Amino acid sequence: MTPILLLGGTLLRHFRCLAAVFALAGIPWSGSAQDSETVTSLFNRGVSHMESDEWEQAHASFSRIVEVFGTDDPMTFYGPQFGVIYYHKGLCEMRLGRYDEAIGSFETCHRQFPNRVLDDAETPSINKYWKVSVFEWAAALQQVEDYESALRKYKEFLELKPEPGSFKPAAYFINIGICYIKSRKVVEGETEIAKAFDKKDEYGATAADLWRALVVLARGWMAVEEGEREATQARGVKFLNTYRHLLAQDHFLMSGYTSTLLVLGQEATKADMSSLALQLYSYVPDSQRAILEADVFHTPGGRMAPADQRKRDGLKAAVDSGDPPEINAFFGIAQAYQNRGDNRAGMVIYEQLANRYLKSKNRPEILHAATAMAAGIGEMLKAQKYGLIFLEQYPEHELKDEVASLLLSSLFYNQEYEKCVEIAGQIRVELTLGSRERDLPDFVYGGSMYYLGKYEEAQPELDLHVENYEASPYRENSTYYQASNLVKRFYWKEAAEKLDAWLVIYEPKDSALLDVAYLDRASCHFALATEANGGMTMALDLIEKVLTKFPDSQVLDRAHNLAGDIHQSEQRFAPAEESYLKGLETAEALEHAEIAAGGLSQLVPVCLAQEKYKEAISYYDAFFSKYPNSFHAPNVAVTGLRAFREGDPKRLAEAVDRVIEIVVALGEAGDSAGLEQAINSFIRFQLEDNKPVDVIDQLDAIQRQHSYRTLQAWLLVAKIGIIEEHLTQQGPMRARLQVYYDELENSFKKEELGNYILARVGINIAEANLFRARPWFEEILKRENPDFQAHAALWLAKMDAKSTDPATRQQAVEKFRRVRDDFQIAELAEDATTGLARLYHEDGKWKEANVEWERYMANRQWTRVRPEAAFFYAESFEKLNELDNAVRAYTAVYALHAPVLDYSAEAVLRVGQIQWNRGFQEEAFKIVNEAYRRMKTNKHRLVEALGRKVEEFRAGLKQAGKWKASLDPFSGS
Amino acid sequence: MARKSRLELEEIDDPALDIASLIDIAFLLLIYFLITSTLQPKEGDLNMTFPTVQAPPDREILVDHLNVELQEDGVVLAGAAGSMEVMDSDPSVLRLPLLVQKLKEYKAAVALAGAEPLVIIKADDAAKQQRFIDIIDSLAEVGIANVTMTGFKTEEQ
Repeated sequence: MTPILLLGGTLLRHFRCLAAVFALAGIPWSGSAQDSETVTSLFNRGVSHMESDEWEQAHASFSRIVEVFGTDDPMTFYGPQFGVIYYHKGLCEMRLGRYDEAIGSFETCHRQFPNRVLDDAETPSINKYWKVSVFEWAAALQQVEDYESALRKYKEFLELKPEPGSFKPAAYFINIGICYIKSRKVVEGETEIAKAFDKKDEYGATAADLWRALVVLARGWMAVEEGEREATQARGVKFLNTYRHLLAQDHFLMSGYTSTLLVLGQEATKADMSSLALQLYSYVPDSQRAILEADVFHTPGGRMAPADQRKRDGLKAAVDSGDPPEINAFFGIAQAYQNRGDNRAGMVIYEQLANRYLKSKNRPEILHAATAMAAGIGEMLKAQKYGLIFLEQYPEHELKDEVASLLLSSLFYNQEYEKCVEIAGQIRVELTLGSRERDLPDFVYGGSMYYLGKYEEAQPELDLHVENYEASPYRENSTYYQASNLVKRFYWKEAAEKLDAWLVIYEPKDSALLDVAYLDRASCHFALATEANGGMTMALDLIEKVLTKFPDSQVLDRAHNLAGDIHQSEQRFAPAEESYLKGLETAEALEHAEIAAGGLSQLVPVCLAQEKYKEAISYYDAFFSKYPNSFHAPNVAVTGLRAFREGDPKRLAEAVDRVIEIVVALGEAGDSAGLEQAINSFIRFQLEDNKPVDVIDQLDAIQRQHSYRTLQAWLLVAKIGIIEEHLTQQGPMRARLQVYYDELENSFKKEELGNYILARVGINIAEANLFRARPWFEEILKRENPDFQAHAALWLAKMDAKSTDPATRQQAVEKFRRVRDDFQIAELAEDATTGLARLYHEDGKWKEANVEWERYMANRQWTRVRPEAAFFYAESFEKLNELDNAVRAYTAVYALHAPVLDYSAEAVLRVGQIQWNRGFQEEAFKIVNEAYRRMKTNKHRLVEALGRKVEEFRAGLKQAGKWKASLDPFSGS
Repeated sequence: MARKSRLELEEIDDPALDIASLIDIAFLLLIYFLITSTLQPKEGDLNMTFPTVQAPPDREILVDHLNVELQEDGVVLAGAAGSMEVMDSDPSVLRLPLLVQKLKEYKAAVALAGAEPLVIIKADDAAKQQRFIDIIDSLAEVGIANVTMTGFKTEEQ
């Protein structure tokens, strides 16, 4: 059924008049059925029912008239006015939805009762509805969706030239417009309807009429073919804009169309007419305003019509409940904006919803949508705001995981890492490891730890993410963080491998992390550089890539400084100076104060190396003018001493005072790392011009003046260092040395001491009692500070290697490997490799042992346990049953390490036995015998064993009949 | 004319043994013994017997390089790192037989391992130049060409 405008409503006021007409005409409205039933009485009754909206009863009355009085040529008997009965009957049928019957009634009214003068009529009989019945006929046809016929009838109606006032033109244009629209002639329909809008008052169009027309028209716009959609949408938008002043006059009336508008808006969105949808949604009135207008404008005589009152009360209830209908319009508008790609506008709508409708039952959905939209457009602060509100207000809501994920994203990209750790930590507990839902929380957790600088805790988390979420959308980041975290932890080799793997995948994709990945990889190259591997050159190549390909990178300053470090370590001081200057300039432009301070601090030693003392002093002054509280200050203060001594001796005392001042301040602040650097450098400098004893006196003076614990500890260590290096020949000083060590061990908590002191005391203890030193080294490994971690790890590895527990021994393996592969401290790498090789050897892991011993043998700089390494290298071959190789290696042992009888004599025994067993018995005798003759002046158990072996072989040969005197040219001597 | 009846004895030189033939005989004897005798070897002079291996090396076995150190007083030491021993201590004797022996053994051990010999000479600047030349001569005698010098003061500085 389509909405139409009936004329019956407007003509109802005529009913009573008509009844009067019948009565006055004196027509014998009586029939045979019942004496009480006259046309007049039945007609009056019918009209009465119509007035009371009792359409069935009304219809029954009019039908009764037709049934009783209309069977016997009523036109002749009653004249044209009998058509009125059919007209009314038709109106009732229209109301009752019996349109086919209505068509018949109106046709009868028009066709059978035309107005003409009856010859014998005493009174005039006029069918007042003869013309109008055509209109109603058309309307009935329209209702049965016979639009073509309806259109013809409407036109026919107009051709009858109906009298002004006998119909409402607005209804005519609107209905004819609707018929056009329903016949898929939207433009024609729109034109007709526009006439009703244009002459609203003249044509008697009410706001309701216009609204009804608009609804049909809007549907017509949306139903056009795809090719016409754009033009139609533009016309529709224009139409709505043009007539907004007519449609949006009465918000209370408009509120009656809210649900229709919402549906239309949705349909427009679905029809990909988002502009039209936005226009339609914009017609949804504000409920508060509708209520206000109802109270002001819809209370004629102080009373509101019952229907209006019900509508008003419904609106009020909806507003009070927190869910006025316009919420849905806002949702629709936001969606339409999203469809147009205007997410920022969508965000504005969601924000309005979130901020205005605090009691809505849809509030979780609103907050969710606001969080999602904000996260989607990168408004992370807003996403964070709405996400947090959601989680606080609806912690158990089914959308909580999704919101939490969105919130995590926003928090993470907003660098709110502490909050990320807290929320991700809570969320993931309930989720299954490896599940899609837990992907983000796990990623954010590890990533946040990484950004918070909690590298030790971050590592297992990042490893976990990489291992469990192969298809994760965050994999690019998480694999990078994993590698970069290893860089931060100085696991250079592993980091380098992971960064290389990362670059293979993400370099071709122009990852946004490429600049930092290059820089990290360059750091690895630098740390692992040897002459052979060309690490320095590769590091510089990567830095060049960062500098040239990423001119807007945030790590340009770090890249320049790293280039400076590389040049400086290669003693290319002029390029180093240039790089540090660029680093300084870039860092200051980027407002990276600490990096700028780092670059400036390095300019002092670089200038010193070039004997540019004046420049060094100017950098020194610039540093303390700009960054006096920098982490680098102690270093600059101490390095600057030499610059003053050479370039401006008058200021040397000032520079020394500054160092002492900094040392004391560091002591006060408990900055162990800074103190170490400052005191050590200061002492080195002072020892160049002063006697060691005088320097100790100077340190004693500082110690007496300042009682800060950290400072006290460092001064003790400094004095220990001076005595160990310069004064061990003096008995009293040696005694003082142990006193200092005891004081450090017994008077300080380990937490108070810096890594250097811990390591120093730990090693002092370990050399006397290995296991007693464990807590000292463990304390170092607990810390983020990398200093002396390698030493600590090495000593702990040595302790672990003494264990018989396989797990503990495995820990020893890992520590040895880490010391050797990651810390890259040459003096420790030898010990680590030896430890590793011995451990494998003891465990009978011959292949691994062989690899490690070979590694040792390959490094000619390692000399501490050369004979041992050569021997066990040979033994590992023997254990692997590679006897030729074993013989070769054993031979090298006794050829090159003859004086070390523990290994050389044993090597001879082994070679002799192997050759004997392999059938080279004469040769075995000669080898053993020759060696014995050379070594026999030594009273050593293995030499004695060699002598016994000679006799054993001699006897064996004799027994086998292979003995010849020539085998032993020494016999008799 | 009177006839001299007095007997004049001829002056006779002091008796002497003609040893020319003796020398001849001595040389003959010497040649005889040289040819026929078998020398009892001194233990330290003996070459080292190297073991027989059954297959050519399938990989290089790492062998230490040999250090030769010339001290200020002309004493020569040799050996791998951590195993240095005195070879020849009399600088007046130009030949360095023990060093030569050590070099030969080293060369043979390295060859057995399928590697190349490397000798690193560390010489004190104060040592006589001649001693250094003696070491080089020893290396040439053994046929080791892969030699590196280290330890000169100028280098250390």
